[in-house]
Amino acid sequence: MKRLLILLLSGALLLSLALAQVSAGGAAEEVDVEHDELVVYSPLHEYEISRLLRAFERDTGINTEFIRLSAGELAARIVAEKDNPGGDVFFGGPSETHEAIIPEGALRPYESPRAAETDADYHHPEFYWSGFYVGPMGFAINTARWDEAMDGEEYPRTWEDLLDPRLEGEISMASPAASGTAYNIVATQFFRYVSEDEAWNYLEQLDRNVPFYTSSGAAPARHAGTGEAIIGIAFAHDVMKPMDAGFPLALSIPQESGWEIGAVSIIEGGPNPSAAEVFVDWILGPEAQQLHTDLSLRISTHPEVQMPPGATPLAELDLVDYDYEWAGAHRSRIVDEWNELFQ
Amino acid sequence: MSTVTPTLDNGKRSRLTGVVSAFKDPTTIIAIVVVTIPLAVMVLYPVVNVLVQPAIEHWQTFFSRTRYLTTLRNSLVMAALSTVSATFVGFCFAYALSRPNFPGKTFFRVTSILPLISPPFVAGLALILLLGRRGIITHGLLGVDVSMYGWHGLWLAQTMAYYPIAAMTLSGVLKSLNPTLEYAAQDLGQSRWGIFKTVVLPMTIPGIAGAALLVSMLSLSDFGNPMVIGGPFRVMAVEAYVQVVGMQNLGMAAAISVVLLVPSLLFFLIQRYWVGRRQYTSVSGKGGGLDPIELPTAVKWALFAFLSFVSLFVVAIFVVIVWGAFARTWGFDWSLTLDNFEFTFLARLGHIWNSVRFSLAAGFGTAVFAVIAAYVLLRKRFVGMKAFDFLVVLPAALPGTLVGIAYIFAFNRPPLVLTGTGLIIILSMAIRNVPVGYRTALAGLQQIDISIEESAADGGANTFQILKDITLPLLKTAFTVTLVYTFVRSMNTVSAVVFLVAAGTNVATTSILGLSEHGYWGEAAAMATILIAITSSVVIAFRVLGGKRLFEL
Repeated sequence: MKRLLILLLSGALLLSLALAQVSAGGAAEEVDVEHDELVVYSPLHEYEISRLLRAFERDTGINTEFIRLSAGELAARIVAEKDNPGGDVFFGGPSETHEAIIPEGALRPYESPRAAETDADYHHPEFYWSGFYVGPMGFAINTARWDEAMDGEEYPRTWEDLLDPRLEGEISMASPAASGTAYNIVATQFFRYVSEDEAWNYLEQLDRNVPFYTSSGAAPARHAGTGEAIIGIAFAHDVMKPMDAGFPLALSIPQESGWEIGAVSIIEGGPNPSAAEVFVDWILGPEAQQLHTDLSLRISTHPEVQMPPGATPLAELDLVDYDYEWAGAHRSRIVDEWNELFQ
Repeated sequence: MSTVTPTLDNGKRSRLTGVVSAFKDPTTIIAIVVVTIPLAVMVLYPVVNVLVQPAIEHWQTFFSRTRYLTTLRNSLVMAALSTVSATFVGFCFAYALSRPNFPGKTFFRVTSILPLISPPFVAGLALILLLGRRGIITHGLLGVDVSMYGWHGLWLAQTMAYYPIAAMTLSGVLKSLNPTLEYAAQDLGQSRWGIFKTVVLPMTIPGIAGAALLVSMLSLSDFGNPMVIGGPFRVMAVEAYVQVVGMQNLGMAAAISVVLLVPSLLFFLIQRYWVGRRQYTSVSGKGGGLDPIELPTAVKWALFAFLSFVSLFVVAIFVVIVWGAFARTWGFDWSLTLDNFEFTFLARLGHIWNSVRFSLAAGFGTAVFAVIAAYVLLRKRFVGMKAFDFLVVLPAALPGTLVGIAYIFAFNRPPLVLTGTGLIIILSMAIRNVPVGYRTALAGLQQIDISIEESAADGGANTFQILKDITLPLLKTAFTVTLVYTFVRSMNTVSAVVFLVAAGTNVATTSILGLSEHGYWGEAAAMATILIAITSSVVIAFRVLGGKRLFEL
């Protein structure tokens, strides 16, 4: 009996030592008096985040760590962590996702001295978030399959082009209930048409060509890339990456395209508040934005940034008059109705 | 010598010795406490945290919309289909490998567990590349244009994903069937089919039921496969995820998860009360020196053909992943390059190291825990045994997304602050694998007749001595299998971990997820290949160090 107790006790001791080791490893990173560390939550591409943060470390001497998840996953996580936030900045992703967690008290407003350099349209009126890029919506077209199915016709350039009966079952799109990208597509129709009935009518016709709605906003570009669909609807920068990788894709940005503002915000109560401000100032500056645009092919909100080859300047695009306030306010109603009609 | 003891319902089983020792021997009480308290803290506490989230309106919404009810029906139908098919394939593997004259055993031993090491999302991409509308097999070889997205693709993916679990649970049972019973039946004039029907099958029923229960729970809570390949076929686990991530509606997600628990509970009760009564133990110690009866030639080759077909398909998936890691453009340009590995070596070695150490810790923890839990349940009698059993299996029914969110809610504020630590990741990995380890250990233990332990007790041995000298050696397989299984699963887990990783505790699978989401499939495949290499090395190392076959298939 004694032997057993000794064994159990030493086992327990060993275990707690091991656990203390592990917890100490994690906890040490939360304590930061000097603010020479920064924890970044970002939905951008792994590549871009790594390279941007390397430049940031070089410029400021602040060490960084990042976690990459989808914008929706990060939003859920930031809200759930509210009592003890693990991240300092929410870097990238549509402004709507940032907007959605403001009422939860998850973000801290910060007016960067750099904010004045960009148009006031590109940040929150109270500076809960600041935009650093703009991305238009585009069609990812599988060139081989398009030529086969459409006899070499020109690539689609309007939303109406997607209604062609020859594209039945060939358009990939995400569900607006799951994806911010897809909600942007749906909301765009309400800004293109005068009446809501017309918008619903368009969505109903589009639905005939969409075999199913994916749960991930990035999946449609993937489906077009691998030929599972002829067209995938996604943000232009999400299409250009697989194009670069060698997939047989073409990008078409339709007339009256929807667009997103990519935002950065500071998480309320994060462990390194001053480093977070340094980061926001840094990313809103022209050098960091140029690097981001070069890496991602997204369109910068900063007027001094040069467009990379292949990307269309914002001014030359035919964008729909996207009303973010309206889109945010009507989101649950529209998604509910959409679910009733198409799910 | 061996005895066959058809036993009664668990509660009615003759276990006088057990009753006495439970009160005289503090080890039992300690063991119960050691098992119950961690489960209460790591399973019940976070789950209750989530259960209080839904408001009345969420319930009203759930039950008034056909959309949710359809999703519920889909989940149930898929669980039924996958349970039958995965358990069937798993049984075929376990049965064939338990027979002395089955050809190509080494190969089939590997393929019987290979799908366990498929990293998340990349396997789904490989499946589409093979069987999609432009798939290498479907379009290239057969010239057909079929979409894999839908219930049929999901069924295939789940069957492939879960048959190893059935095979593992069943192999222990089939291995420990005493061959003398089969010879006795043969002597009594039974045909070989008769032997299978009257000896092998009935004795394996508890094992089959345990395997089926696990598969059905895993299928119900599966998130990765339906996310990648489910297409229009919507299931509850994805719906819960969508509510959290798309709509930030945690209340609805919690409501969906609670509903998901109901069928799991039901399967559990069925297994417990219907099959639980038909338990048999066959071994006084391990079987004698005899080999089991050989397979008839026709059956042997039919099984061989079937298992070869399954195995070749699994191998094809891995070939695609590894080749994709070295190819210039996934699926299009198969010329070789090392470029895809650059990113991992430059920036992600720390994540891989985290994956390895967390998974090893989870593996050891789970193995110790599961074996103790199984032993306590089967050999001791105490108040609340059924609740205890349920508590141990419960984690299998929880969708990973829910576990992740629940852990943040529960452990990001006092009394227990664990977020940001490696410990919370280890615990989330361990907890989710406890049910499989526990079932494997139970299946092994059920085959060891209690009379051996009773006679040791009569001879004056205490619980600890019985455990050390008799039970543990017999449970070595269950222990190793659980350890390795948990390690392998944890290396490849993603759904709960994505919510728990923090700066400094990030793991490889979250990187793979990010890479494959954004179309960097080459890099994702490269990282997956590194994970596969590490996982298989560790499995092989255990096998070499253990000095015996790792999986007793």
